[in-house]
Amino acid sequence: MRRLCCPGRLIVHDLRYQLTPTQRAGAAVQIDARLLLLPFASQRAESLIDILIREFNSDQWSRFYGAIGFAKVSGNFPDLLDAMRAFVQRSGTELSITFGADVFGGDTRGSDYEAVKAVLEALERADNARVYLYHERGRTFHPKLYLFSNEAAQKALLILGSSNWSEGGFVENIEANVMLLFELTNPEHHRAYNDLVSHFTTYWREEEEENA
Amino acid sequence: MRDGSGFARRVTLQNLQVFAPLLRASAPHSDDQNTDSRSREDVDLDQANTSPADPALAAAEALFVGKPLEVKKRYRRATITRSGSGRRAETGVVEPPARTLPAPDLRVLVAEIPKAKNRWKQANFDLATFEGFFGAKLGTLSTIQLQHVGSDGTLSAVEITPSVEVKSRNFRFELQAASGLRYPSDGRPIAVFVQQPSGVFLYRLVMPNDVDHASLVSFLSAKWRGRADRMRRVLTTVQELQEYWPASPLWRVLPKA
Repeated sequence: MRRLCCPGRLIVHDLRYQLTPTQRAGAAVQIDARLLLLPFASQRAESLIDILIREFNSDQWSRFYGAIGFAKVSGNFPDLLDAMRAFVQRSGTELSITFGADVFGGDTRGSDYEAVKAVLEALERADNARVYLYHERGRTFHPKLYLFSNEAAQKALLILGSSNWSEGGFVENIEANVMLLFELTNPEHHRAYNDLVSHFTTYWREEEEENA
Repeated sequence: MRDGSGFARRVTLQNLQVFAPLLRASAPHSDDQNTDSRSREDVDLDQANTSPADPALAAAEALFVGKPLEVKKRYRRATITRSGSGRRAETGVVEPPARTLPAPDLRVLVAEIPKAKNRWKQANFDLATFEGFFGAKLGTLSTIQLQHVGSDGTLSAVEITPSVEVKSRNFRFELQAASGLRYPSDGRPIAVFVQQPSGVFLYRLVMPNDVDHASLVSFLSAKWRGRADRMRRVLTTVQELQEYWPASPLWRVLPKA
């Protein structure tokens, strides 16, 4: 099992938040975790764009879910779009990404039309790729979640934090993210992973898609 | 539909254009390096999707018909005021809202009006609305008192209109404001009724070419819980509708609280 580069294991209690008091009294749940602080990691060629391209190009993942508040044109690095295209062209993969379509005052919008269009063009011929927009009156869509998984191999990688889909978010801004490596053989990891996936499928994708 | 769901729509190259009003038009290859912070200078991330919508934006927003997740506020909220410099200052003190609303708790019905084979002047409502909102009684001869409010706040004469039971347990009564008007081809008229303690229902008929129409479409899109192929009818209050339609002429003629 590949381990994240990490000086030591981070004991995370929050994965047990749904347990009963009796269950919680058991052994602490541990998870491999690594902080990804930008632009500091970018200097070591470990920016979020480096990681996303590497993980898309890696053959260990079969599914990608993304939920990102703001998509900007600057986030469509050609190498990233190429990696996403190669990912969906592999047999047995699935890609689902949801961008926010928030409207602020005046002409201010959360995501760029051209950013969404470029992603759609990169994934155009892939039946296993879906792009969604999220818009809710009175509520901002603001997550930054990048989830790679391979349920057959019992593992998943979650990157979550402050990085939007932009050059700033991927490389240049001061951003704080954490990478969590789920071992799905672990019941607590599996429970947390399922909870996360259910949010994608219930709230951040078009319902008709799930019923099709 | 689960609370909080229904607000995601699949976008493709074929339908991307319909979502365009919700996205920023940007030139390709623009130098927007590190624009996240710059582009957010004047943006309040807690106030997304709240402004009154122009027709194009309202049409795009209407594509997202979900069921909001209501979150209980368990803590006192900060009061945010703007100083003379325009910068926002949080006082940390919760103050009661200024009472500027006319009778905020008055019940309001916002209803799309169907074409009804060109008899659209006679608005149809189901039994629940007929009895629950208009106060009529099934099986009795009912009249309803309506008073139309013009765009400038002028009041028309009170209309005393009998209700008529029609097929499928719907009930119909006439809206004089629709007299002589052709059913529009670019959208549905929306009627807003305010239930007054006096028993007279103030109402405003808003046509698609009316500047207020987009605000009401936004409201219905946000609040309607029924099937997408049905006429949308939402029961609400003055206070709730005022958030979407602050400049309604109805508010000018209602007594202040």
